Amino acid sequence: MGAFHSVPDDHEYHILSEKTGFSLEQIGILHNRFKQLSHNSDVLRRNDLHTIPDLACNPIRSQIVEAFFDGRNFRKNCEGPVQEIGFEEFLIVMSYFRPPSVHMTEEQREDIRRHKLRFLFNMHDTDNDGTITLEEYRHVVEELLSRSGSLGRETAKGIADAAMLEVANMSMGRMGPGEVYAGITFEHFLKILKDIEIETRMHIRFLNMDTTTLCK
Amino acid sequence: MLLLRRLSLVLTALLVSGTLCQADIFRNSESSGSTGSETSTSESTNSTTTITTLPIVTWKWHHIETPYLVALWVLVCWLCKLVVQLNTRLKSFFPESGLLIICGFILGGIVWGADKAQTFKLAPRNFFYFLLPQIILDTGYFMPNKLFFSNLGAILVHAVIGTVWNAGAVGVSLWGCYLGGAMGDLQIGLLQFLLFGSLLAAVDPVAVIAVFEEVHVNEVLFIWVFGESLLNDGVTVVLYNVFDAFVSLGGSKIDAGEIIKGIVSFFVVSFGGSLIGVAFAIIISLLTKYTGKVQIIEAGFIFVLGYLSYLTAEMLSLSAILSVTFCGVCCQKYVNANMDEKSVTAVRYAMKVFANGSETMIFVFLGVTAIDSVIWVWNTGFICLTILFAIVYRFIGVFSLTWFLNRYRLVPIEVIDQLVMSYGGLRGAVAYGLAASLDETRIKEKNLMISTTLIVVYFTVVIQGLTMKPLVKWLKVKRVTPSDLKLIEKVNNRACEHILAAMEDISGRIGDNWWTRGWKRFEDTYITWFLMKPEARKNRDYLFSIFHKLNLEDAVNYVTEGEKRGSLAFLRNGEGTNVDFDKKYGMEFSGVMPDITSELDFGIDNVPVTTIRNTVPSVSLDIHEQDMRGMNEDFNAHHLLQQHLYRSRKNHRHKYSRSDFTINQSEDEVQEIFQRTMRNRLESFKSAKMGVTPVKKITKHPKTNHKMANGKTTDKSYPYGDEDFEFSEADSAYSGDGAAASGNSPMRAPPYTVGGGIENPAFMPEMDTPPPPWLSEAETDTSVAPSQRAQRHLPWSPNNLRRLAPLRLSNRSADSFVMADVPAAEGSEEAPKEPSDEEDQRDGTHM
Repeated sequence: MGAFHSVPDDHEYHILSEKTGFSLEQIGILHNRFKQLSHNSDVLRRNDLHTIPDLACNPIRSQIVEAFFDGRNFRKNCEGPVQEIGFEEFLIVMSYFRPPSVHMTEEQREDIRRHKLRFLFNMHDTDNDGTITLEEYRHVVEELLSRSGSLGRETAKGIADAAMLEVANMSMGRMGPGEVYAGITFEHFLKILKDIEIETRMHIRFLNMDTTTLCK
Repeated sequence: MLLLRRLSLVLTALLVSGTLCQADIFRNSESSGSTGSETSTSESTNSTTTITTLPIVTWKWHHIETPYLVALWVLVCWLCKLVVQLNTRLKSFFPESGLLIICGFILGGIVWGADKAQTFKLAPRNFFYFLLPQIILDTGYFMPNKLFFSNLGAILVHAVIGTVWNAGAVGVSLWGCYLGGAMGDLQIGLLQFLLFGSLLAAVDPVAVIAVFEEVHVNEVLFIWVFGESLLNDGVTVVLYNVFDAFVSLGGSKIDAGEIIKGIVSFFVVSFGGSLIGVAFAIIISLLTKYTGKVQIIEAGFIFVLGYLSYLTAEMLSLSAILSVTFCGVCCQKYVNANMDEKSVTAVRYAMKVFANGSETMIFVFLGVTAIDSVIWVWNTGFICLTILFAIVYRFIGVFSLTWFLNRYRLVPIEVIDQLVMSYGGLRGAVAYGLAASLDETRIKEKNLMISTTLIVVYFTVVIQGLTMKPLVKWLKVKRVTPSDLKLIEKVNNRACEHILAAMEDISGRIGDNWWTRGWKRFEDTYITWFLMKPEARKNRDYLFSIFHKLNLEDAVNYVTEGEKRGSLAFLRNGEGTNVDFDKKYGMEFSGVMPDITSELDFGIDNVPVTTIRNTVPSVSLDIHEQDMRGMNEDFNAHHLLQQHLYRSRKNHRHKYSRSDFTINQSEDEVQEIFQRTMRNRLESFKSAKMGVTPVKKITKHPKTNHKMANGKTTDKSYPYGDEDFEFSEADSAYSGDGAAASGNSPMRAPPYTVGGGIENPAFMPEMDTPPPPWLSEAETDTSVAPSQRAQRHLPWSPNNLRRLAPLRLSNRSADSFVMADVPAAEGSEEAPKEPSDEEDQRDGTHM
């Protein structure tokens, strides 16, 4: 535990804590984990995440890992995929999954909601053109189903198509006969998922206790 | 008009109850035995007197008295429900359960007026053995498992600690007030008060569901209240038994040892009961792996074993309610996967029929029971204080426990939700049942307890139930819109789960998701292997089932649309599509397809194909079919089939729109259409979406307009172009058929005239369909049938078919070739079941 609690880090931790909303203990733990994953180097590469054994059977592993290396998720003005990330980026991506605080104004809630959905949206929108096209969506569904084995690619396609059709119906209303639905924009995405209380759903519990030793 | 109908119904109900009263008089005078035969009994005793001559008709009331009365009461209760339901205005603000109780009052009053005594009441034995089990089984079976288990901790805290707290606090406080002199002179000790407290502690699932279902609160709140009410029934019964034992032991004999024994028995009884339930769930799941052979009674196993789990637990003096709850909760997943979809539907409906029926009866009888002079012992202090304490301690219990739980929750339960939860502490029939089964020799004030319990029940169900809706509205409790999740939301939820699990992995902690996933993996590898059919294991993916539901829905809309325009022609398109589907979802549908096919062929060809049919794996399905037909074998089966198709689809359409459990409708017909049409739909969607087929887009315009003019289905309209396009295809087919029906030769209608695009092979066959006989249904069927038969016979030959199907499968683009053979494809539908089945299997492997 002592290694990363060294004095020079402390100030950095405070900055990071303000930026991401994690408590110092949580940052400490996450830093520990970061080092564990990156094999004590300062940067994390895709391969480091891909080799987490617990992750091995996650069907959408590649998308999730990709989200960590997606410039859009860093809340800085950078775009496109990056090759390696530092601890700060790691924390920022993690902070999308912080539980909402107990007392929130409606605006804050809306804000958090937008952020979280943006994260999801970015995960779908792989080519970063602002829309989730049918191809992209299909890809996600395929990945989702890839582990369940019983369903072929055809079904995944079918599901994606049906879902997309729904979205098209909902977001465009009655379309002209010649129109082609280009894809889900973020606004549509927000609208479609407005019934899912993503702000209360998309979070994990960050403990103040170090359990890294238990994990592989 | 409506009013008239209502009145007539009320009248009927009254009439029936009048008959009942009559029956009562009979029974009473009979039971009084020696009091002499009145005018009415002279007839009824007729059968017992020695006969002098052969009676042609005899009056045998006594032979059938009990079952007859039971059946009549069931009828009356259900009629009450019907009357209540017809009263939409009253129902909009008054909870149904309350109305039913009031109906019970009225019925009880009538009985009282006729008999001058209470003849009917809710006997605890009947309640616990015949009315309650199916309700609990139903709630367990339809329990939203994921929600339930993810909130199990909180539910258990509320159900166990909350209930014990309620029982203790109410009992002790009442005792305190009694000592303080608030109730005058009663023969009740502390133990009796505690016993009374324990029986009052149960929040009744029946009442809670009845009220909360109408309110639509958010799901966490719902599962908390619901789960608590369900589990604390078990807890209450256990508590009640412990205190009952204490009472019979007598205060002096209770020492620390007995108390510890009581606590131990509490846990043994509850966990033992739950274990019995799980054991029975395993038995059910295992059984349903093999019951495919006796498909007709397959559904019955669930009920019998569920009931047995209840009785077994009761026999071992374990908690029967918990047992049957967990039986339902644990078996649902495997049962649904193992059984044929028909049976699943059967179980669902039957379960609802039983549960709803007995729920209705319970409420009505709660009302009927009240009309009795014997049980009413009024003690203002006791009754008022009981109501007060029951409510106050409920509030205290819920708030303090939730406060405690909130410390460990990421998203705390809000105060408003807690308020509603406390207010939702409705007491119901379980409390009454327990009160009624008190032993009068040991508890002198039994009647006071019963009447107080009844008042508490009426108070909570009627008053609290009545005010619940306004309260929820007024407090602006987070509610759910009672709509189904959209597909994309479900996909998204699924993705979300994975993301969360992954995030936990990455952040390196062991959390809820880790456990869930660990369990899932364990379940996937071992439990499903043990409890599920291998075929079912393949098909049970969550997303697939959603997709399936969605497709069914679409298919039904599609059919509705088609029927609106008077044609089912599009049913007959796209043979290739269903082969495709069969290949993919082999097990799930192959059971359905052959069934229809064999039926068809049986009718059309009138060929004795019994030899083939006997080897069909779905023999029992045929029996089923025969049941539906009422054994009228010698009818023209073709004609019958059409009627059947038509009627059932009509019947099922509105059931579809009904809320909760209808989603997974498994109509043969619907499935058939589903298989045939969904491919097309998706194909068309895809091609248009991707903008690959400009040709189609051009042809689309006029048709779309035409279609709009036709009046599109309103409830689930697909305003999107592709959908229109697709329907318009059906439309064109329809027009073609219309022409065909008017006398032209339909078979050789040039396939390429309509639509223009050849990109979409799936649509083509429908142009070639022979005129669907139901188009000309106005004419006599028999006159048309021969020609059709001839037409169909002409091209059909099994070899042809066998060659054809794989072709259609693989050579989608080369459909021009296939088109030439379409009549043969048509034949394939009517071909003997065996080859086609074989075909399917071969395709499956071949692909």
